[in-house]
Amino acid sequence: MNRIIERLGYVRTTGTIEVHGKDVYGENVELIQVRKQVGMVFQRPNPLPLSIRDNVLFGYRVHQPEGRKAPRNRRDDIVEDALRQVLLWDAVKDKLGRRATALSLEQQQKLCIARLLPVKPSVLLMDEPCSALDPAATSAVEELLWELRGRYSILIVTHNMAQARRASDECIFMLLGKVIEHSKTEEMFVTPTRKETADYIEGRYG
Amino acid sequence: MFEKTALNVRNQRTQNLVRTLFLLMTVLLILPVLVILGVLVAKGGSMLSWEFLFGEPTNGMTAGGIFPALIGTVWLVAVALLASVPLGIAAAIYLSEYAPDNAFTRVINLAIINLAGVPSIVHALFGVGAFVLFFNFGVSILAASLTLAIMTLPVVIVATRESLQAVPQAFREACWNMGATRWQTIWKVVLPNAVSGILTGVILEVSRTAGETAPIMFTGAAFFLPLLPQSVNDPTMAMSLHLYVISTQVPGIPEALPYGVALVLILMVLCMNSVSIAFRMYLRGRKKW
Repeated sequence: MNRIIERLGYVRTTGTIEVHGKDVYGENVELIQVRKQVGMVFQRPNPLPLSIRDNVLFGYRVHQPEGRKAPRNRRDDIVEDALRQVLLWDAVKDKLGRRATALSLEQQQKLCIARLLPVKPSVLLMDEPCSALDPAATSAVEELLWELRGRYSILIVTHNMAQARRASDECIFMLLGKVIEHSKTEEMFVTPTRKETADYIEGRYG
Repeated sequence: MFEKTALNVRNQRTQNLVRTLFLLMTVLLILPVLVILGVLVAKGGSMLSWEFLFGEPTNGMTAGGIFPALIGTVWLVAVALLASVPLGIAAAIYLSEYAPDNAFTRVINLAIINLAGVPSIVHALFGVGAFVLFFNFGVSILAASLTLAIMTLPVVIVATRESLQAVPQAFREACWNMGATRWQTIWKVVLPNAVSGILTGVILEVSRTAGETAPIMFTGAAFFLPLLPQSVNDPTMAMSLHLYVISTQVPGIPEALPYGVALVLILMVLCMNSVSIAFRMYLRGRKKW
């Protein structure tokens, strides 16, 4: 959805992906702008080897016009706001200069979400954001999803049925690259309309 | 259950034997270094003095100092670095970060490997043909340094490329994902994490540049010059050539003199390298993953 997949030379994509009514593979689409609107969180937390503060400001600096540096207190506000949104501020506020890679995996993943926020994206993509985390960290990240709900459209990919049920309003069930069923989460898990969906929810294959 | 079998004992014995053997090989490796340094200090140590370092040679090179050669080597190394480091790093960045994996890239890589395999005397003749004659730089520091630069380019390119590739791909993806261009990614994340490896390449290059004799013999270095070089267009004396000539061509040289010159050359390389080694250690300490 933000075309990061293009880095892999071997993938073939067909069809269209529309974000805000515009095809991201269409003409006159600046890739950089797509990636600014659509932030992505990966399976494994991938903080940059910089300080916590610089991680949060990285995207902001990338999209800032050359030579127009925001004053320091403005940048402090950005860092604090982003870290508060991901419920990380209280844990790291005294060590913003420390390296981000020394944080726990849960905190790293939250930081990876936080660093998307300063450029004001509208969509957050999460590709199994909890698969590298333990249950406690998973529930912390899920809690965060509910926290961010309403401010951003969040798309989360998961193979964990329980998580899909817990952490979403709407569900799309996909099988072998095709959409099988799309409905409200509570409906899908209680009254699935397609046999494939029902079988998968019940764990007959997986 | 859990008792040792005969097979376990035998395997363990082989394992111990192999480990001891390899340890011995490793120790053997440092022996030549220690012997060379020991002999140089023992035989040439007495030559070291301020007059030796900063004086002019006298009595048909058999006495006096080596200052003109010393300063000449500094010139040669400095100009060679100025030419090869930016070029080598730029090429390595292109090859590692931008170049697609196609026939053209493979040909370039092959060329780099071949360049590293060319004997230094061939580089010397190339230098004469290209820089001294064709570009008409004459026998000068410029011609000699460019010859040295071409000879050591593969070292810089390979070291830089390796250290760039050692930076985890996840960092690049994280950057691209936030909308950073390739250059922003390279400048802000990849290069800062690769600097220490690049410096290793530069260290290797300094040592080689300072020590090579053949490439500078015909292109820019002379055995004796009455004046110090004033610009890159002048020829110069150099430590390595000086050592070569006094050891083989000049009769009546005091025995300690060549050892003294060799010792100074090694100390010089060590001094130049210690700057970048210190810098590298500082950077390693700051490494953030």
